[in-house]
Amino acid sequence: MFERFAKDARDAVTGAQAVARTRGDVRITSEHLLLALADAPSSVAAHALGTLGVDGTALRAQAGRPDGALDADALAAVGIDLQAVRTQVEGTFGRGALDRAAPATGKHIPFSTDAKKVLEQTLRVAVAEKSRRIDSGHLLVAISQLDRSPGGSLLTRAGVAADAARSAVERCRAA
Amino acid sequence: MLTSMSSELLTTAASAAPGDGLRAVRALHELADRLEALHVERARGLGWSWQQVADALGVSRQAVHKKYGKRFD
Repeated sequence: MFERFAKDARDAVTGAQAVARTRGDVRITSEHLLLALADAPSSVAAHALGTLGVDGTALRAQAGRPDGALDADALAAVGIDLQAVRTQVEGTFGRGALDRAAPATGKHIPFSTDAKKVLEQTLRVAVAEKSRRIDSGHLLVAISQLDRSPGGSLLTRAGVAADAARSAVERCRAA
Repeated sequence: MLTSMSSELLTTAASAAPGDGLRAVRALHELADRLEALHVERARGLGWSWQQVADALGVSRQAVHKKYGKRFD
């Protein structure tokens, strides 16, 4: 299957790993794939998202809490003000100390079932289009169709519906 | 801080909904783990032995060495 992937689609798959690592996440999900697509400026997917007024920054603002981040809301619910703790800890240990103390993510970050489903759906999208080559546009359309996946729901929150994603991708390929 | 805590907040700690309670516990664990790592690192830097660190944490020397030996030896 991967031999049919165009460079921008391969880059998104490897980029998703980098996105997950930066966020300190333990698994690669459809959300990481989507963020990687949005980050690659020359890809069909990023162009299509751009025409819909969405970019990596906008998506990150709506993305879920990273695995490596402390859960400020849950701490507040038991009476702990994370900001107050952070200020106190940084006073003793220096700026960013609390983040530096996060457990390191291992070398290999596995693909979640959800991310694998995206790849399967991508293949279906390409087959339905009778396309030999699989590009980042197919990946984006696949994620938008899996609307209950983390990546699909992130797209929905950013205001991108599946049919809008598909037509934006088609317009970008035609251009 | 406790005085400003509403009864709603207190309910979460003893929440009947397992999801809420477990999420709070997980957040506490994660915060405690980070504070522990910072303080163990500092103690070791100031010359504390593993035994002293272990006694302060109320765990065995082996346990603390296994957890931090590679990071802060």
